[in-house]
Amino acid sequence: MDKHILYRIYCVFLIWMPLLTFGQQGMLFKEVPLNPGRYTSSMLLDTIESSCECTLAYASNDLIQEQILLEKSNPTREELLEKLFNADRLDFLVRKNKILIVGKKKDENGNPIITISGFVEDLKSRERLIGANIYVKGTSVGTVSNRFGFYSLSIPFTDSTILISDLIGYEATTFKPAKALSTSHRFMLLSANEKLAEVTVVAQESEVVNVQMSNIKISPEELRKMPAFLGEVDVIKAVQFLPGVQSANEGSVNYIVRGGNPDQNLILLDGVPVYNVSHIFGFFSVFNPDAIKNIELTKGGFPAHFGGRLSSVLEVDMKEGDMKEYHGSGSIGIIAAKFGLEGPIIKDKTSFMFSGRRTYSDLIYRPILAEGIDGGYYFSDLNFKLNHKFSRKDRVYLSFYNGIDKGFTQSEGSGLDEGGLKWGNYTGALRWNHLFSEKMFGNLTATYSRFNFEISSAFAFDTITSNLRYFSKIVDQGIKYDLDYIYSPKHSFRTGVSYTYHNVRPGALVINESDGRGLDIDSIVDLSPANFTHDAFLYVEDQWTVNQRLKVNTGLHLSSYFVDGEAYFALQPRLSARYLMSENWALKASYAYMQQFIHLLTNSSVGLPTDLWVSSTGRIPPQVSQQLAIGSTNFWDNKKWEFTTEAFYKDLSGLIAYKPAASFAPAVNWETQVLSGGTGRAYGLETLIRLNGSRTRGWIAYTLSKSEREFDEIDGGNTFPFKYDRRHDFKIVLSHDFTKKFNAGFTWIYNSGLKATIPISTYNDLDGQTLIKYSTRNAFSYPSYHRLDVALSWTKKTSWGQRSWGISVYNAYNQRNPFIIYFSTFGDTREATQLSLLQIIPSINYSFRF
Amino acid sequence: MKRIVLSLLFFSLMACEKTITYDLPTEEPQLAVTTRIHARDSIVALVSISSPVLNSKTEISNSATVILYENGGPVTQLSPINTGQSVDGVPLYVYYSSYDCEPGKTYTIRASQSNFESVEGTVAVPLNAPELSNVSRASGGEFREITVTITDTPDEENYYRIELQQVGGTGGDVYSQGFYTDDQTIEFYDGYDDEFIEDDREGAFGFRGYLRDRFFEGGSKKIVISHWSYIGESSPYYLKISSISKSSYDFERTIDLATYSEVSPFSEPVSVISNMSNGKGGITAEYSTRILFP
Repeated sequence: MDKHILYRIYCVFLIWMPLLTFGQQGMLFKEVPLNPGRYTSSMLLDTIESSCECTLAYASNDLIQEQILLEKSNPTREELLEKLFNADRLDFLVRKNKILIVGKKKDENGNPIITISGFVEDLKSRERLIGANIYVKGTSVGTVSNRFGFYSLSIPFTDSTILISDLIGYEATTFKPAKALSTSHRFMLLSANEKLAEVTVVAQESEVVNVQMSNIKISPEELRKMPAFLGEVDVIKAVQFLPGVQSANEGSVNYIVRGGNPDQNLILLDGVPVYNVSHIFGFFSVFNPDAIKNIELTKGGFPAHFGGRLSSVLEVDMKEGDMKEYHGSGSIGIIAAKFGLEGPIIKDKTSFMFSGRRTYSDLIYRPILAEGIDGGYYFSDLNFKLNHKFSRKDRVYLSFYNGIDKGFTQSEGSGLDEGGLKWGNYTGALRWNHLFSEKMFGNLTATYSRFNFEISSAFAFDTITSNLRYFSKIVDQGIKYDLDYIYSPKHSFRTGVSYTYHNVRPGALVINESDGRGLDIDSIVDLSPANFTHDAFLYVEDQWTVNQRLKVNTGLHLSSYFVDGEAYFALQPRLSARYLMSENWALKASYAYMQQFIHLLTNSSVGLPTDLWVSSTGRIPPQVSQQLAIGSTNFWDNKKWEFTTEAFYKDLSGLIAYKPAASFAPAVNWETQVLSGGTGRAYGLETLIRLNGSRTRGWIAYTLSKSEREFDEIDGGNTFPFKYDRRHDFKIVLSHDFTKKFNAGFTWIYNSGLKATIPISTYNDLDGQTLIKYSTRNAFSYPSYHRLDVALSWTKKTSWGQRSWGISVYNAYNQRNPFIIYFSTFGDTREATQLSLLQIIPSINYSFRF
Repeated sequence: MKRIVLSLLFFSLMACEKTITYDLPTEEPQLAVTTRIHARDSIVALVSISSPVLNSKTEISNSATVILYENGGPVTQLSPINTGQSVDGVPLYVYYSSYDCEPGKTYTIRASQSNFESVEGTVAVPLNAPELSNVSRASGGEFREITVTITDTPDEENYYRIELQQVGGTGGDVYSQGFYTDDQTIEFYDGYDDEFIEDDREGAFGFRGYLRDRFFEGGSKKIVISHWSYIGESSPYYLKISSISKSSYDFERTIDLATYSEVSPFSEPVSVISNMSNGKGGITAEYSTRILFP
């Protein structure tokens, strides 16, 4: 049978298999034709049984002969059953085509087990909140809301049971179940921003409650208070201040996580991969902070639902749009301005969010260019999201992002001569959330992601015209289904399938020439053949609460990748465990096996658009990693202080790199330019001290680490330091609200220098030509890097909202950090010259919100 | 206002260069010997003294003792000769001997000079010169096309160099001429190396092309090269194809990569490979077949 047919069948199987499991649960949601009024229990049971081809199984003494009041017509079977058995001793289960009425589960103390489920939302905007903690007061029993704000928690009920929900940047709120009844509850949290310094912003309790380790969140509020660069705060640059994360180079949004390569970081915007996150050659990221509601980085202990990258997953989620009121925000900085609007289209049912950003330096200087010459450079971002609630159980989201960088020159003299470069991302996601029951939540997502890069030149003189265009691109189209199921108080189950079709075209040249006398060339030259690949995976996860202290998350991720007639399969085990030493102290450990099928070919450290995304092929196998981590999380002083320390060891194989002397060259096939089969390892210790005070917030992070690589063809196969092997990495991020109006913050970073290969000595060959002997690969360390950034902001409430003035100083003490060191020869002498890219840069920013 | 904004932008994004003194890894000066053995012909070596990278002073020695050993025993001492040329103002001396090096034998070169550690390297001379057949030359407008077939020796890894040499000048000097070919088995060129597009001809242009037998191991390989018709009009010229040692191939290959990496801002630098102990440089050997035109 044709291979394509086989893997299509396989992918269809992957997609539909979990859906088949919904069938038995689906019978609960069928409506029963009943009018409002009073009924006896037996009448209702008979009606349920007769309305479906199912059997109700129960012991007769289970029935409670009491009158039941129905307030609404045509309730679902589930709603009827809930009404019937709202006592603390009965419960119901669905088994095939039977509904079993059974005694309610009880814990070892005889307390009935109840399930509380629902959503966590922002009190004002009704946006659903990701990663909020929901836990039982005075215990460490709890859970965390998923990416759609949904939670479900099964707990023993007592008269003193109180649930607390909190989230960093929000005021905590509580819920006390009235009786031993499984129910849904919506937690509504008040943003700290609404009350400024009046609320106590709690710590990220989930660090103790949650089994997940190596995971850090940054709230939009924390982001806004960090120093800005040229008036723009940046998501990726904030992430670079976290422990275990390093900037690839000065000013770059490329980042390194736990000694991995820059391409080993999966960056998801609303669940859609973004392949190139840089604007202006890496000085800014594509994420407009005004459009963001959640930033979460996972560096290790990857749950089974993650795959496709070896070192980290950065999840960035767009705002959903306020369901109640219209709000706007905007700002004007030195190089860019942005504006955003959100609000209801249909109140409490449909909302939208729109945000746009554009640089305007080109608009300023274009008018002063000489006559006949035009040119400029700009970038822009557009974020848009729609969110519609069909019912309590169904919600649909549509989100879109487009970012463009464009530079161009044009001159008109004796002929036309123009050139330009352009790159950008398009991402889109369509999601459908469905709540099957208080214990089962499903999410279907269709995704689209495209990154393309293009250089063009056009020339016209007399009758001759010439147009050349080089382009590379990667396009993903995918569909994914995730299902969360709280199987029992001790087991929380998650499964899902995903299929992505990749169109990877590393480079093509379009030539269009004419001499005006009949000689025409019109052709496309595929310098590197395009790869059309199929990427599918299936995962299962079980979070098992073994006892009050021990919680374990086990998972399997089955990946498959089809390219060039080659099929790569891998069974990737994942394991995380948390052991509570006390209410405020948890020990954690994790293991993750990961594979990566898409690679970035790069020689630069700054995230250039010329970096090529390429696919694994028959000749270039996937990259593989195994990571082991252990750690401890402590809270002190009523959770005001958090202390986390983690040790990790990461083993890498299947790495690729440019061959010696090779780099981006549009005229050649990339496969001939790379070395494959490289190995590496990284290990280290990370510590984080985080302060979550009412007025002072921030963290101190220190990482001690080592990262090495080996390629057979480099340095005779000997181990050499990774280019980004920085031994010490120390950061401070702090902000303080002096008054309700005035906030000051600073960040300071110190890390060991980058590694480089440098010339050592010179000699002559037989022709007298001077030859240079270089050090072994990356044997030289650049000087250490350190920098202080400062931010001051004044916020004033006005009749229409609030406005802020911000002043930031980047590199406040003007440290000349090395960007690159190069060697030049002047007669008999040779000089090493350090290029320092960014010196002290003050900037001012005005922003408003209404 | 416009000026203020522009000035602010300029200063904000202005990069700064600074000449700095680094504690660079130091390396004591060493003898560097590059030697080429031409089987059945001659031996040429150049001895230089390496210098730290921040002191690019050229030192070419004419006072070293350079001895050639054949299968472990000394056979000749090379004599320094002033070529009359200079490098950075320093006279270019080479060490020369007309000793008849035999194919298939192993030779060691050892150089010593006071205040330096002796340096030595060993190479095996290829057993066979390339076996050429079906040589033809055809004129095609402004180009001449030379066709030749190389028969490879089976069961061994062989390396070849192909070049055109013209005899010119009053002293009968031999110098290389460029040629172009679209033969993809030629992996790199030393000297000039570029893409060639002219009229309907496309390929690579260069001097001295290098190839391995991996695509025709033990078999025959037809090669077609072209050169401009004016070459050879006033004097004879040679098609020279050499069997070269692996060290020769690696040495030239890494020189080619090193040259390329020096002009590419993002590529990793490449050190030229060395098969000399206690010093730098390389010893290479070749055994050539020449065909004279016209």
